[in-house]
Amino acid sequence: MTENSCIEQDALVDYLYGEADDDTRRRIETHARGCAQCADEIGGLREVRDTLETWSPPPATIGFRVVSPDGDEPQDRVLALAPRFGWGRLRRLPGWGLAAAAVLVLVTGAVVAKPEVQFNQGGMVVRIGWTDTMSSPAPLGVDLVSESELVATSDEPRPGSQAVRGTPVGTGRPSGLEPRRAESALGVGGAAGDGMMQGVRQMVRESEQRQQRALVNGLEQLEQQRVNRRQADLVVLERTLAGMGSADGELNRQQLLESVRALLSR
Amino acid sequence: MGGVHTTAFGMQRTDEELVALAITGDSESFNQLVRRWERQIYALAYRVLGREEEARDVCQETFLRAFRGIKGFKGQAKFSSWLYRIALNLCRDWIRKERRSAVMTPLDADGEAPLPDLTVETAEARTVRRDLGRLMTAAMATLSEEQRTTIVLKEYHGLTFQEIADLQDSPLSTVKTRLYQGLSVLRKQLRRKGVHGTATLSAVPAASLMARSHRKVVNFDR
Repeated sequence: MTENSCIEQDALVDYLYGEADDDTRRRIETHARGCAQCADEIGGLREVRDTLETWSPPPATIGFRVVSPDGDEPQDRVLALAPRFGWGRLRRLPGWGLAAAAVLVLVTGAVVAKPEVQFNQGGMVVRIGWTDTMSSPAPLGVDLVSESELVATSDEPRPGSQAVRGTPVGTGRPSGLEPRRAESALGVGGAAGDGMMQGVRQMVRESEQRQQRALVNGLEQLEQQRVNRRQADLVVLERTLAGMGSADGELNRQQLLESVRALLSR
Repeated sequence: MGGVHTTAFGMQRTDEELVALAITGDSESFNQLVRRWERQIYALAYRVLGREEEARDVCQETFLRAFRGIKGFKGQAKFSSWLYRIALNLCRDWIRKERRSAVMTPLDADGEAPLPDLTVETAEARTVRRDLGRLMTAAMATLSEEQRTTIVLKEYHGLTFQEIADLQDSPLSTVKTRLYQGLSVLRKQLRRKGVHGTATLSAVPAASLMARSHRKVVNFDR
């Protein structure tokens, strides 16, 4: 029995999905003909299924593929994810998944993103960068690692973010720095040191994400500009074509030629 | 490694054949599997999470994990069931992590994909789909994760009750209970919003068409 009908739940579900055996199906149908409540229940649930059928996910660009960046590397150690489409598609890639987007080298052993941390009299220095040559590191006060940041690091990273580290195309190659360099540079040990390290890692992670977002925002803007210009050109082209039949034939032909030239040059 | 994805007679290789090739290190065979299943996995994640970006992330991560673990896949289940399991585990992780914040809050209209990829969609159809999408994600958000997952697997991926039971490590009757209770909650939710099955169908021909063709593809693949 269900809440709203006299039919047993399992039989009702089987019936709704066309999986009831003939006997059950006949029994339910005979019953529903004489029981308004059950007929309403069946009709109502069918309506829900009809509505569900109209729900489709938004179109999304999800194409990517697995590539082997270095043929000599064993497949289970290094692999890369590359978008199947060009850079123009980057605009649809998610924040923390940007890493994977930009052509990502993933090392399953979890490479921490080459931070370099030093202590000196000015406090703690954190250096991060995409290339081996570190440029003008900014000294950071230790107090930057606030308590809230430390708390935040106790959360687990989002799925995969631990193992996935992104490297934009062009600069992407593993640096010579050892993954564990940060820890050894710290050298203080103890719970406080660990907490600080976590805070630093969090800052490094956030900084990386900011860089990636900035990169993608830039690309996105460029792409938008290009699309806008192209659309504007197409409008001009269309108008010119529409006016071809009129008296100013020669003038229109000139405009058309210019538009086509402009369009082709992009 | 061109040409290995189809047989000598030009027939598509089965999932099992592609998996066997992928295990030997043929990444192109794996990519073939990605292309075959990525839309299903994305759709699954989208309907379970109600969020586009996270669905893409889950989709991508699912295939990464599958690729890394392909050697451990011994064909004890169908390849697709294996993918579903990975994806659903990732969805569950995400939901648990985000429980504090609002789960399943649909993004605003501007947050959605401005560029449909291969699907030709008119502006009108897009508006209808977004309205219905918002409504559905809101209604689905009122279900438990298990109810939602059960409905999605049954309605959109055509799994049998037994397959769902296996995926959820639950008895068959539990699956049916989840389905029944989920549908009942949805019915109340949609009624409250004034949505009735037939009315919705006639109002959104384009969206309905997409959903139907989608389902057809599922059945074909299976």
